[in-house]
Amino acid sequence: MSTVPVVSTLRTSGLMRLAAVALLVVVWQAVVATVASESLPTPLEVAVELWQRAASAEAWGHVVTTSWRVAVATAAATAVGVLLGIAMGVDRRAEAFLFPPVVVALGVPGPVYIIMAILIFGLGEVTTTLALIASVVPFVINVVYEGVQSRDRRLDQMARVYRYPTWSYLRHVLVAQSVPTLFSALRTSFGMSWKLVVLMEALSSSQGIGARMVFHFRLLDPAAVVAYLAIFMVVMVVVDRLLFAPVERHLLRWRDG
Amino acid sequence: MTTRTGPLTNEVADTDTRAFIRIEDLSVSYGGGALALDRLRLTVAEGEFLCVCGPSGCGKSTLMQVLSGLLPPTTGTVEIAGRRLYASGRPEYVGVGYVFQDHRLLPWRRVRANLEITLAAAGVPREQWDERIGRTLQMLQIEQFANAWPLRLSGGQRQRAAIARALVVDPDVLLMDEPFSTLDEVTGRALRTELVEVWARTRKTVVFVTHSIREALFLADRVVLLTPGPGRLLETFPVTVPRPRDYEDVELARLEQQVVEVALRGWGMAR
Amino acid sequence: MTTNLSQRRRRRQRVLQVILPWGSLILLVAVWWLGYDRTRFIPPPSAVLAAVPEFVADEDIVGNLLASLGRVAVGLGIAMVVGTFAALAMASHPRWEAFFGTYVTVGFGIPGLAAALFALMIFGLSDTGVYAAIAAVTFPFVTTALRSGAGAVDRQLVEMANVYNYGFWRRHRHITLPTIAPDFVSTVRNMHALAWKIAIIAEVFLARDGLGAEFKKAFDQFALEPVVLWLTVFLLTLFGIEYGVLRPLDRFVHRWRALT
Repeated sequence: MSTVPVVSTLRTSGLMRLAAVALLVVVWQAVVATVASESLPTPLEVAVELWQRAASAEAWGHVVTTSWRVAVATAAATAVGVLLGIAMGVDRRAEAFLFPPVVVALGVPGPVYIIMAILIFGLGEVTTTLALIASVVPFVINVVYEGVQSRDRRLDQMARVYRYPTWSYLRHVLVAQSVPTLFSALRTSFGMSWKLVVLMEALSSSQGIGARMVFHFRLLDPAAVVAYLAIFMVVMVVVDRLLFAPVERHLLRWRDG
Repeated sequence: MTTRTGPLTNEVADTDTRAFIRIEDLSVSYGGGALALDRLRLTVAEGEFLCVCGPSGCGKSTLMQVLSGLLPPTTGTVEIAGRRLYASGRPEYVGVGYVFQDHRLLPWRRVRANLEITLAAAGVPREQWDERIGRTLQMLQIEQFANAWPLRLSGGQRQRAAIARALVVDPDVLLMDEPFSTLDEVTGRALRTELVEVWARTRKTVVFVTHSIREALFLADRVVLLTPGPGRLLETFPVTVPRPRDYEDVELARLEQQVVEVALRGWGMAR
Repeated sequence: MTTNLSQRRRRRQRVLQVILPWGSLILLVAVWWLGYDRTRFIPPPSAVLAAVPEFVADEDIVGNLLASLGRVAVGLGIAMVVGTFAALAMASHPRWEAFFGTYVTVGFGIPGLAAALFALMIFGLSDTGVYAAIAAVTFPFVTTALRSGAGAVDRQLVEMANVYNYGFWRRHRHITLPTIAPDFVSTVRNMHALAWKIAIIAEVFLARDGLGAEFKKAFDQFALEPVVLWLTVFLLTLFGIEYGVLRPLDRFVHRWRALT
């Protein structure tokens, strides 16, 4: 490849990103003007709506509700997923027992989880959060299972020869080398929880961003729907940057050093 | 002790009744019917240094697994220190120290911690730990590395730490699986000499697996040759050269020629 | 003797390996049977079994299945085409890397619900909306997966193409596309399950037929039987395609790669 000065490459890529976003906005405006004039808001309408919503306490109340659910689900799904994933990766019997249900659970669509939860527990806060946790756990198990499977087996053999007790093996051998996997599991748990929470809320709750999106949709107020989506995506990116990126950098740093 | 064997037989006229490790008629199958070891018969006296040599696939690792109590044999018996192993048909605890070809220290724990974890696993009371660790590290001449991270040490120092880990639990048997084969020549020589000194001080029973005939002859009281898979006893060579031995000793070179000749014939590689 | 004991142990292990995979299903049915009356709306397992004959006779299983399958195929197909194009462009110049990369990054963050609602807003209650939703959500994954393959094209072939002044189409048709063809199949295989999930979500909101619509109906009736029965149909189809068609195809297409 020819040597292109770094600075101009950066500027070009920045411009191209802007161009991509601009194109999107233009297409959006065009679509509204032609095809879906009533049901789709213009970018301007969304911007106005967003401004109003961002200023209202009500909107932030829903953001808090959703965030709280995501926090609970992330923690719970990580805890359960890590435990089961390690069990699967270390014990043959656990692997045989858990493999089929995990594969099936990965294939079950989100709406089915929420339907099942409602049929079992009825409508309520517990239902929404439990369905969310149940739908995220399989992904966490998958990540942990694969990570544990790629461990250094030679240390396993050493631990067997010296008869390390199970807890000692887990603590000193397995978990110690699985830190990146565990971090990845946490990040997966968070990402999937964010993605699925709005769906769960839309189908089973009146509080939270997802619920609001459906509510305003039914009120034929699409600008509010898009505004809430924008808020949702912004919060997700902000949390990811604030919470995970620095931790990830910290983890990678000792490896390079 | 005196043992005499004929070439290519499994018969060992064993006049030694003080056998510390006694292996009779040991066969281990891979699970599909193929045998890793075939009716192996071997004894090791207490405090003896035994070297096992054989080509790849001769069942050396299988033998080591059986001796460490992890692999129940298909047929045959194994006794260590008068105790019959695998009486219940399952793996069981055997007081062994095991040194692998790659150090297999936990790289995220300091050397001292590695030893402590192993002491805990062996059920040694906590009060004894400091003394044992200090003594063993000193014996291996790495007491200054007690708090070092394993990956910051050189290959030779790491193997010393691995040997220290094996010895700190005061094992009945010291099993060593080609522990020096990845080291450079100079480090290897230094460690071999020190190993012999440590062995002389602790008087442990050692089973040492190696590919190098010269190394085996330098270290051992007896060298045992196995056949290619399934592994059987090919020949036993007592080594009576007085210690301390010189790696370049003419006598060892002569013995090496003998052993290599027998090996080539027995392993089907002779011209 | 030692022989019998270790043989017996091995046999027991083999038996366990055969039984254990079913353990979770057995456990599930057991818990269901023993605890169903403590739930809000769950009937006993026998109710579901009793509903099977009627289900098979009345419901247009094949019709709904084909409707959903068709949407999955079209939606994923669109994503594959657009994604391939984007991946090729991104591999050819950093300018396009930045441009399409923006859409990829944004696309990764779109939740299934948002895609469904947007599709509803733009396309109304139509199949096109479902196609769009599936394509929008899977596109970033497809592009990312093909991008690395597209970037790993044999340099020497590319140089040859430069020397002989190959244009865009000729270059990609003869060099890039054959190189990434195995990746193409693998990507379809990996995205298949996700496409199904988005299809179901979209159908819940947008469609009058298809599996998602049937789930919605059952949901409105608070009835478990149709949920379980349609879920069974769904899972059988999903895994049938995955293990019966896509994986063998994936292995077949990768056979020449294994030799190098």
